[in-house]
Amino acid sequence: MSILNKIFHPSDESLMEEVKQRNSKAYFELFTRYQKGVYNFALSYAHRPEVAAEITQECFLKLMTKAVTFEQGKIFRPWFWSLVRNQCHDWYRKEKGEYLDENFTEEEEDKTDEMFLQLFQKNQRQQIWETLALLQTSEREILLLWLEDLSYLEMAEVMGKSQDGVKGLLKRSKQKFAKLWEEK
Amino acid sequence: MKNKIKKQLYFAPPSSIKTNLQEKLFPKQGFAHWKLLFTSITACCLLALMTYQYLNVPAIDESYVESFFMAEEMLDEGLGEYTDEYTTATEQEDESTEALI
Repeated sequence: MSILNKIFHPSDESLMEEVKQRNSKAYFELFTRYQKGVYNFALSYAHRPEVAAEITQECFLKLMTKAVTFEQGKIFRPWFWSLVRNQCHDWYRKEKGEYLDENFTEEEEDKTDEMFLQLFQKNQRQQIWETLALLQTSEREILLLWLEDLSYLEMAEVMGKSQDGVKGLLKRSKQKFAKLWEEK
Repeated sequence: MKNKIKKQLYFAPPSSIKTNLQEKLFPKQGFAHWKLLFTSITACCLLALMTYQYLNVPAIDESYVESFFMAEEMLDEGLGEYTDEYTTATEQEDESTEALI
């Protein structure tokens, strides 16, 4: 069973070994697995579909160019999500001329992008995105990484925090999201 | 649970991302369009050349035919005059020979 599983559903890490050899099939298998998550993660920053698509494309281009730096025995998901997060931060820095850090003030975070709000109106998805936009960057990030099924250890690696720190942040983010959702 | 949330929350990424990545990282192998065009033109030229050589029967030019017949006529006339002269000369020779005898 496990052999069949390995053949028909290879791990991300074994696919990365193939990607190092420029195997397009392995590359696009990883792309299929992660494109939706990456696109929506980028959308939470850019708030514009065309920019999110551009960031997603850059992330997957970097996946190929940086594949050689992926050491054997490493876990793929935290490595890849760190890359995605850095790419989003780079874009934000270029676009807004600001550094993203944990010390955002409420006032700065309270800015809601009008374009984002205009995009998806009168359905629940829009309300969720609106609520997400009200969260701080790190809160939004942790929720999206949690949705991507990353473990606490993996999230800690991506966010550059301790496991306990990540647990606390996730808990606070969920509570804040629920509170904001109820207020809406 | 998470999948349910994701289904409700996530937007589908545009298919153009995959197409762009395919073009940038794995351009299609084999003949490019310009190579295909160049090869087709070369092949057509070669085929035309071979066909021309195979069917290279010289065309009949009417002016050549006319000049050929004219030349023949002229030759005939020329030969006629020559024959007459020859005949006359031979007859004269015969007569003189007979006279001598």
